[in-house]
Amino acid sequence: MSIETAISTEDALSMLAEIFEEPRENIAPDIKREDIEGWDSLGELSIMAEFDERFGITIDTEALDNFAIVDDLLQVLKDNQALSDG
Amino acid sequence: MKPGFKQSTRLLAKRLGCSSEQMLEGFAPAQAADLDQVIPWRAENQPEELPAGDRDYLRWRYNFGDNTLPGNRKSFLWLLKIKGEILCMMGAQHHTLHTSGQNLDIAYPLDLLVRKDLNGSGLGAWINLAIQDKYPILLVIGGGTRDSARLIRRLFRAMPDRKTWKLPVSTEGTLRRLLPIAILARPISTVADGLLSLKRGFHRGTWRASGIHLEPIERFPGDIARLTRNWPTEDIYLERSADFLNWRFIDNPGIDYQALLIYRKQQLLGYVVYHLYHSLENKQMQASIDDLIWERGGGISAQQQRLQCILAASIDHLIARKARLISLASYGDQADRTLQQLGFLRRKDEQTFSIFSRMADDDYLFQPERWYLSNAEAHGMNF
Repeated sequence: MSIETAISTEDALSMLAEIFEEPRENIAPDIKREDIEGWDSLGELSIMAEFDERFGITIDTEALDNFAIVDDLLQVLKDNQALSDG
Repeated sequence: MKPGFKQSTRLLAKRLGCSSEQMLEGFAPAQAADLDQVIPWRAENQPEELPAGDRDYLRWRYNFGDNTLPGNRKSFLWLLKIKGEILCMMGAQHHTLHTSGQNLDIAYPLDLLVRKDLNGSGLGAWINLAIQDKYPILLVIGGGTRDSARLIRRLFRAMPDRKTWKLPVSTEGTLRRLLPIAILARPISTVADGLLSLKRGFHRGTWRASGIHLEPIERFPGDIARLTRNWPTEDIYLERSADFLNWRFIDNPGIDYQALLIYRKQQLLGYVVYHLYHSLENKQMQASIDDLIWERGGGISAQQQRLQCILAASIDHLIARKARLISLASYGDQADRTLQQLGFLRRKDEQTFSIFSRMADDDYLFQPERWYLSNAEAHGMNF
């Protein structure tokens, strides 16, 4: 398993759309958690798995529970230097 | 995109403050000694109030300790316990699926419950993955909440929904609820009920002329499974042995099911299982047809006619028992046309049906036109 160093914001949003099983156009930084049907417990587990596997990022689970918008997830990637244009 | 079982275990173990090994070792079927811990735990963590008799339900459903049900079928309530504390649970009811001349062992997941403070933690998804790791084929059928239905659709492969139908006998209760001026309900319903009755009268003539008669039974006879012997080999349906039917319906501790055998002269044509209940919403007695199996020998037209007679006779029986609305859930096109001809209307509350399989060459499982399912395969506290 190779760990990616960084991806673009556009690729990150596509990745999140795939995780939440939503059309890409429905995922943008300002979209609220409650407006994304797939951001449920399986969605959270999938985010944790994808961030861990792809970037080696361990998300603090308490912080994850408090995330309110898509941008909170992008911020995790940014804080871990996993966003190339962030 | 769903995460793998091992990876989910590792991530959740970290979240729960234990090791992956502890999670895997702590995931095991409940034993008889667990019942005293399981009962209060369920009462505390069930989102809605549990019906009375949960202990009877659990004993009937899982037969803790032996875990063998009549017909030699297994049933397990899997618990995740860490340091002696139950974190979540899910049942798995084994059954036999018939298709193409072969029998497949399958299981139904049911009774999923996560400790209240861990809701949303991913444990609900994890225990589904853990059950998928244990069984090669799983079927999930039923309603559930919108959230649980969405979770199941993403963890399993969703099939077209199971259709639910209703046959209004008396429209007054519904009209009284829907009309802005309640006093109009009676005169309008008198006309509507008269038209419905005329339509039923036509079908009554047909089934009576066919020589059909119904026989209420207290237990299913040993040879009941022969009713499906002429079903097309490509059809997929669950085994209905007398052992299963008596356990599932007659010995059910929660619902008072009634069963009817249907004969033409001395020939057994089919059976119907139903239960009556008082609808608080419509303030009237209603009936649910929960299982319906009929002999399928002869051509398509003969089969349709037989089913129509069986259903028409059953409807008259239920009306005589004061049912004012009759509902039925089915999966499979065989019955759709007949139900429409008899005046059944589609309800909005369709029920989900999803499959998990890691069998090779399993494409046939995902062909909805091959399936026949009734309420017999729907599991959970309310069934």
